[in-house]
Amino acid sequence: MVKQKLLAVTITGMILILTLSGCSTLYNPATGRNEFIMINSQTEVGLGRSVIDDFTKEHPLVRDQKMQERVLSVGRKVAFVSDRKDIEYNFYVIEDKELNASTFPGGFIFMNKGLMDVLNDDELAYVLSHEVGHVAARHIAKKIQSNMAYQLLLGLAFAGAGDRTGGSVQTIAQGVDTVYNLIALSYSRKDEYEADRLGVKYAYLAGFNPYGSINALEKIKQGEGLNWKVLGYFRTHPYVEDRIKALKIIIPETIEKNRKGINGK
Amino acid sequence: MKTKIIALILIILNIFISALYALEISGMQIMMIAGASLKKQSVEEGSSAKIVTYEVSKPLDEVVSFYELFFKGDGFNVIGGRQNNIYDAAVKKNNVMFSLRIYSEADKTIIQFKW
Repeated sequence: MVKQKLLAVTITGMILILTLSGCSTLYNPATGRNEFIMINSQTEVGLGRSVIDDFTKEHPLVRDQKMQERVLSVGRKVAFVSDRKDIEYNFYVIEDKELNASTFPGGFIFMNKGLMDVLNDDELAYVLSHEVGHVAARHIAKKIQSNMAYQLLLGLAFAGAGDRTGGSVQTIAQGVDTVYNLIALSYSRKDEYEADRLGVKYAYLAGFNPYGSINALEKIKQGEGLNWKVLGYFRTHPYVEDRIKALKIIIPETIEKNRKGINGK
Repeated sequence: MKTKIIALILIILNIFISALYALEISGMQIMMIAGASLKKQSVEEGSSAKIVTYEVSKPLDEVVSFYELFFKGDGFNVIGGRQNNIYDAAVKKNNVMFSLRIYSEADKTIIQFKW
């Protein structure tokens, strides 16, 4: 019995070693690590495009042009200083009172109107740069590549690029559902901290007050007591209390580290 | 009998040679650049995707050009391409889809297929 268990552990270990050793890694400037990412940027954009059409049918864009311009203006500033510039970021506001933001593969970022209504520009810059941080660190791509059948992923990516022959209508719809479900899943604690660290950095480099991050999270927290629709944010972006504590340490460190970059010295 | 044995040897040789210069992905033959040797075959955890890695002692530029020409000439649909020192693309023809990554490692060029 013991021998059998030992054999099973050894075989599992060998399979794992074989599995991981055959994979190439790429340097990710956002995380500063070499990472195993098999989805290239254009495939990721294709994946995003194949899903957002359905998403915007269910969640129509806000018709208020000024609000769309505001999210675009702040979003572009933080995207411009991000570590990932091989994709074009897109920012939209959707008709939804819930305090939340959703990010799709390939840099498609949707702010809910409910959240837009309560945030000033510094706070908005943090929320958007946090989402840009998730994209730059490839958190979404990693979630998808490890939870989705690869052929389905490729079929969706080609569908997003205009070639819908990579799978039946039913298969494509199944793929869209899978991506939806993965996006709705909460990020890990590690991913949230990483997106916060990047978010503070991008907001600061874009000229916003990084302390807007704490204000934004405090507002969302307070909203819970006021019966605002905050559940969505907590579901996809958990650990708010711990993140506020961490932000109080991250912000001065980020300012110190990036001050020279801003002053050009 | 002798003829049959020779025929059998030729058939085996033919299979062996085509295996050296082509990779079969979902029934489609994908041309392998001359001189490439199989480095590793593995299955990715989670997605169950198959990853087959080759290496070749040729410059990255030459290998990338080879596959760009092959895909263009054979009517493949390609998403992605070369960015700095890496070629990274999703490739499709008919119902066959795979991704290809080409990059340098030490003095070799690595060619990695995933499907």
